Amino acid sequence: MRRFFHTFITTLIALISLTVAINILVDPYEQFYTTSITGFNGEKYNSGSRITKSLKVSKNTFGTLIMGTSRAEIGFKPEHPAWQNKPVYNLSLNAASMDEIYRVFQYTLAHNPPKSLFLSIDLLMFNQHNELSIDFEHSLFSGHSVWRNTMQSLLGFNALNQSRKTIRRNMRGTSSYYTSTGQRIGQRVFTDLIGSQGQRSLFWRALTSQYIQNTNTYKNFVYDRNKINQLKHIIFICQKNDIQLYLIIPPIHALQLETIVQMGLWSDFERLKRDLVDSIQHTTVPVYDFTAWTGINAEKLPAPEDYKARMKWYWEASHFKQETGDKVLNRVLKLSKENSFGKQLTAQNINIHIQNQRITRSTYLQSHTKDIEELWLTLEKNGIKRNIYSFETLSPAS
Amino acid sequence: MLFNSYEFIFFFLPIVLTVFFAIGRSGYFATAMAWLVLASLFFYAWWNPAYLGLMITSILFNYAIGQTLSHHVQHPHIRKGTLTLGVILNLGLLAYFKYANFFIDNANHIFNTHLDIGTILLPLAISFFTFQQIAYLIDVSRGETKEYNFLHYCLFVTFFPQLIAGPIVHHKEMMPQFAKKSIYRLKYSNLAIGLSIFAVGLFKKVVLADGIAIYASPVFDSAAGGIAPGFADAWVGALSYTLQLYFDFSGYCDMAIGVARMFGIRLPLNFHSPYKATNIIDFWRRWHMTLSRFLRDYLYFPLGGNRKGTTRRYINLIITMVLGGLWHGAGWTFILWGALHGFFLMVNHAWHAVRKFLQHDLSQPSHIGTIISRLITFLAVIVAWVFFRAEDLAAALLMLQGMCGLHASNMTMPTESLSYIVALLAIIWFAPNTQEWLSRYRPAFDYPNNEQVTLPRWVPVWRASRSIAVLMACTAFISILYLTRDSEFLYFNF
Repeated sequence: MRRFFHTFITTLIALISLTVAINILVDPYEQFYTTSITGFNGEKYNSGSRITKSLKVSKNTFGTLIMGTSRAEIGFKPEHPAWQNKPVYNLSLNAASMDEIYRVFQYTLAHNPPKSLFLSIDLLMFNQHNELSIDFEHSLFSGHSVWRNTMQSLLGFNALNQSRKTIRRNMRGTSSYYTSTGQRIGQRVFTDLIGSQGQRSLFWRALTSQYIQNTNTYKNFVYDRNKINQLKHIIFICQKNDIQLYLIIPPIHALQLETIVQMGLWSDFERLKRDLVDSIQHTTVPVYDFTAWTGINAEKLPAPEDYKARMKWYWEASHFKQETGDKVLNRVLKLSKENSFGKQLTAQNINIHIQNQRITRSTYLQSHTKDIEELWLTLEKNGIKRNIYSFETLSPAS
Repeated sequence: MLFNSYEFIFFFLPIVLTVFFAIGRSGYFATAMAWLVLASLFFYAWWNPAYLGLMITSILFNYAIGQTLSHHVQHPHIRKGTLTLGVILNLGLLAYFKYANFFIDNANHIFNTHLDIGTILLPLAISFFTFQQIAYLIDVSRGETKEYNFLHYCLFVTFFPQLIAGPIVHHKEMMPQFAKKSIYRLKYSNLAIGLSIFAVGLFKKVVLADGIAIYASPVFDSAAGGIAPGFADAWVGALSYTLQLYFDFSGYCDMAIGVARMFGIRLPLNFHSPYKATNIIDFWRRWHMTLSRFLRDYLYFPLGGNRKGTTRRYINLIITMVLGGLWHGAGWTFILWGALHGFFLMVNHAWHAVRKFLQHDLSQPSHIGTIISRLITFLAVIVAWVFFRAEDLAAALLMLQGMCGLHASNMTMPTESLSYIVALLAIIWFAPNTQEWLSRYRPAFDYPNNEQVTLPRWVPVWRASRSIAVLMACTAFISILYLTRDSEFLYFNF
């Protein structure tokens, strides 16, 4: 029995030590500041995970934090010259819910509060069915102690698996999708996705699989106004602590807007805009809406057979390029005087803005008949009846 | 503190064991006992130190009642009165913390009143330590056990391997073991067996139970939200929960037995392959065995058991099981679950009576008969678990309708859930349980005669070999890799 006990303990200690050594050496979450070796662990692939981002903001103080979903994560560059409070970190999280944004904000406030916060708002953040992701549960944002988080990074199955993937991808020479400042590099992500089938194909594939078929996005969407209270609390805390807050609704392609209309969520989207304006009443917080049916947002798709053509402003309907993000930042951070892109919303202009958007939609439908026809066909194939909404069938504009 | 936590595995357990044996080796047995009590109180207070006061008060009160019954009162009426007072106050404590909100809510509903006493939080383990001490008081009043030493009594109640979720032990089972000097000396055999049982239990909990839980919760949560599950989803949800609960509780029981064994203590068997049961009577002899024993000895028998005729027997069964259901939680779903099991037991006894009348030999079932009986029993247990798990009666009915195919038959749950379910069903029906696997080493206090256990050929018999040690270490290692999920044992809520 003594031999059994010693073999058991020795084997267990050996396996645990090996795991700890691998995870420290590879350091997939950039936690232990281990030496980076090209071809082994030089490129980190988890920089966008909630685990890594929570570690980043727990250890560093940033002048500005960019928060939002993958749109903000891809589109907004922390190195943009217009930022006033530096350094800037892109703390946006893939498919973030308002619950997550709220808890991440509270976490940063408790640890290293920024001087300004750039919050990119998406409709899906307010989905009643949104829950915390597993990645979030394992991060410091969830309230776990640093001790527990460290143990998970040393001994967790996920950490070991990520170490394995890090070594494998480094050996293959795959580059990371993230910059050290938290931005996801659209060029790398989408070049692989576009592949030989061209950008038009990706555009429709992404819209169909992510928004028309996916049961976690528009299909079962229920607008939860309680989540607006979380946003209001963020606004209140920012005002109280002199944190400069910017709220923006980021640009999305007109065909994505039409998908929102066709899936019966346009009233919710308008409701959200009104709620945003209502939330900033009596504050100095600006709200900008960069959604539109014109200009950049109505960018033409590459021709069906043209696999090499690339769009200038969009990767696909949901994700705008960094060039578009730069224009947003120029506008909001006042680097440029040009004001044709994006609209600052106020209690005075919200009704007119909503009305104008409805009018420009109808113009878009008439001028982009082929794209619209393709969208409606795609919707019908997926069991969604075409709805030629007129202004009357939507809720009143005021 | 959870058994399945880094703190417990890497710090608490090694430190408590080392200090216990260091003190024991020096011959200070009382000090070693005191160390175990202190460690157990720390273990309990880890969640919420505020609960500690309540448990200590309960211990002091019951010890005083026990002393009175043992040594000071001889008059039968006064003894009976003292015992009644003790039991009522114990049940009163449990009723306040566990059932007050439930009764007030129902009273408000019935009488259209608006009484509000706020939300009373359930102190951890209160159901277990209260029942254990009630059993002690009754045993003392019957003259079956007595305790002179307060430290011993504290250890009997607080011994951390069984403190939070059982097994519910008898004083006479535990204290003679602590009285043996041999347990205070480190024995490698106890460590080897204890570690093996603990490793298997940990694997059951963190890999199997927590792994299948992800398929159970979404279905029951949807039903709670009024969404009717389809046929496939409803079965995936119900089967997943049936398996989750099995491996969760089985894992906990193994871990409790394993940890106690490292200290040289054998806890009573609490879980013995219940889904292999061929009828509901058999099921309750295998599931949460120490609770069944408590309910039988201190409720069913005092109610008259089967000595007052068939009708009275059935009534007693229903009462016992309904109260057993209520013990698990203050809710109508638990009451219904208990009533359903009471009904199943009634049918089972009636069926046996019919077969005896027909002069069937119940002790010699056919192979096919055994398989059919096992499947019917399993089906009955699943149906009852739906009530047990569902948020409310409406959700339970939605689930059952789904299982009967009354809703659409589409499947939204991932298809890998099916292979997971099949794999776990194979384990529960065809693999030996931990006690059978270690049967040569008397793994539990009251484990039946171990010589009769025959393991399937494909199972390597547990012995103190290097290969088994490596296998067990790998099992423990894989489980430790999965400790990242922060999940309590289901039975901690009861």
